[in-house]
Amino acid sequence: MLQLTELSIVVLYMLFCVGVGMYYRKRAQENVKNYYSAGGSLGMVVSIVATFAAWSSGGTMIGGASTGYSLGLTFIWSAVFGAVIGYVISARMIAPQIRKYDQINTIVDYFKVRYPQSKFLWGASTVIIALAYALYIASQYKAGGMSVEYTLGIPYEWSLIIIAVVFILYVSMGGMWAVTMTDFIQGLLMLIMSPLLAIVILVYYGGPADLLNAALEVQPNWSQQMLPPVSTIGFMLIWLTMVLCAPHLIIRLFSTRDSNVARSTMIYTGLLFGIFAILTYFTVAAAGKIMFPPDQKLADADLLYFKVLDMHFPPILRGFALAAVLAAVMSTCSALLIACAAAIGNDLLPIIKPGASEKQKVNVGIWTTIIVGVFATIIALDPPKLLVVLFSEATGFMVAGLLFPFILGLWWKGFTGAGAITSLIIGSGGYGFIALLTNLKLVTLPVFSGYLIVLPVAGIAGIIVSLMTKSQAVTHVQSEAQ
Amino acid sequence: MSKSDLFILFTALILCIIVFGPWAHGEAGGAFMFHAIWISILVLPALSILLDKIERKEVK
Repeated sequence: MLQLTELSIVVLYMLFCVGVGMYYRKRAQENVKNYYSAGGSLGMVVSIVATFAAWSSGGTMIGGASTGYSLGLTFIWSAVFGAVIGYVISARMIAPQIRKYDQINTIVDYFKVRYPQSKFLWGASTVIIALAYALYIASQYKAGGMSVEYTLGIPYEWSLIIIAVVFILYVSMGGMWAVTMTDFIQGLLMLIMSPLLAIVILVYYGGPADLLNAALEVQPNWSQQMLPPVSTIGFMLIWLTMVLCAPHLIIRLFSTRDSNVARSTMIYTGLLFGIFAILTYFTVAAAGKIMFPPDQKLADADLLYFKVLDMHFPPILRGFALAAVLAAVMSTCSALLIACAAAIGNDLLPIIKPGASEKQKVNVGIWTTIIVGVFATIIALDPPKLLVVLFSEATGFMVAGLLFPFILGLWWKGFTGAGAITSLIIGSGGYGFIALLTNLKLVTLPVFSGYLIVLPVAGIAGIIVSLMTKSQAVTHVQSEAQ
Repeated sequence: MSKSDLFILFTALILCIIVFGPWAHGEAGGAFMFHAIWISILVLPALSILLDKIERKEVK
């Protein structure tokens, strides 16, 4: 049964997003810099809110609370802590360094400048980014499809298709301009609706201490670690390293006006996300624990957010809260899609077809957006289990490979192309291999613990190979970056 | 890398040890970790913003 109030709000919101895409169409498609990084001209407030929205996905909004409900609050907060450390490190050690490079729009652009001989690295990192982001987008689709299905009663498959069409339209038309402007509005919507829900829950239960005590009465070990420490630390490390080198966040550093804005964007986004995650995850997960104690556990924990909304919000606020969830889904998906489009159109095309024109790069980006968007829709038709686990695994695979070529490339001029390739293969290949073995049940490892094995091995192997091939170290890059 | 960058990195490391140290496990440690972690999530970026503001004033 369709709910008229919620439906009207959601339809208006979707029309608005498409309108923004159409509005920015001409400006975005003028050249590559405009399409992929909004001309490198964004101010601080827009950049902070848009980066927050790109990071805080539907998965983190719905999935964070449901993970806190199922696996304990310290587990999900560990990941938030990791992300916050990542933002602080990124602001201080990455943003000022990366902004020294001119004429680059993406992380693969950076690899081209830093490792000019390593074509394999450029191509392999592009493929890894596209693959990991297709899985990441699929997990976001699930969040969007579920929210529309649950609230409006539209079948999951149709919900998925509607959402996919809307944001493929505005990303492909408006590029990074449309992505950033819709992200800004979407970020504001999330920053208003989620704290409002948290406040309503806190007032209802008589404050944070009473809410926590009531949840602990239902399940006394809920505030403790419910998974092995290696899983908690592995999960935390994935989120930390993801902030350091996730292409959809790095692309934000290039879209800001200058290095100071880039630096402030990362620090304030970290603080904003920390406050948001503490408030939302705690209140929704604790209220869920009280509403659905272990003996009446929800079959699909990812529905928790909507159940809590149903209990605490009237229809009109539910409509806006649903729009906020869709905003979270779309803002992240659009950021991921534009990163994918950049990976193929901006990074891979010039390798396959040297001398490709600006127009061709933009056109390939538009078609990549459409193809990846459709591919992710197909994956999401058979939805995976816990959202947070799926997208954390997908990004773990990507980040394990990209981290050292990116970070060590910035900070150590002796890190060579051969070292970077070794690190990429061992990082992504090793993580993928472990995931395959555990999924086939050939080995049993606690979830996310594989990351703790693969990451140091990838780093050490990259360093050893770099030392063995130090005659290939690129020295001109440093002077270019000054 | 400036002194404040190093200070922030060192603080992050100390907070990690506090939050995930061996004393964070077990029944009593569970409550300790619960509170240590949310406080750390707020303290680290706030400290970084504060140092950033001080640095920029010094540059001016």
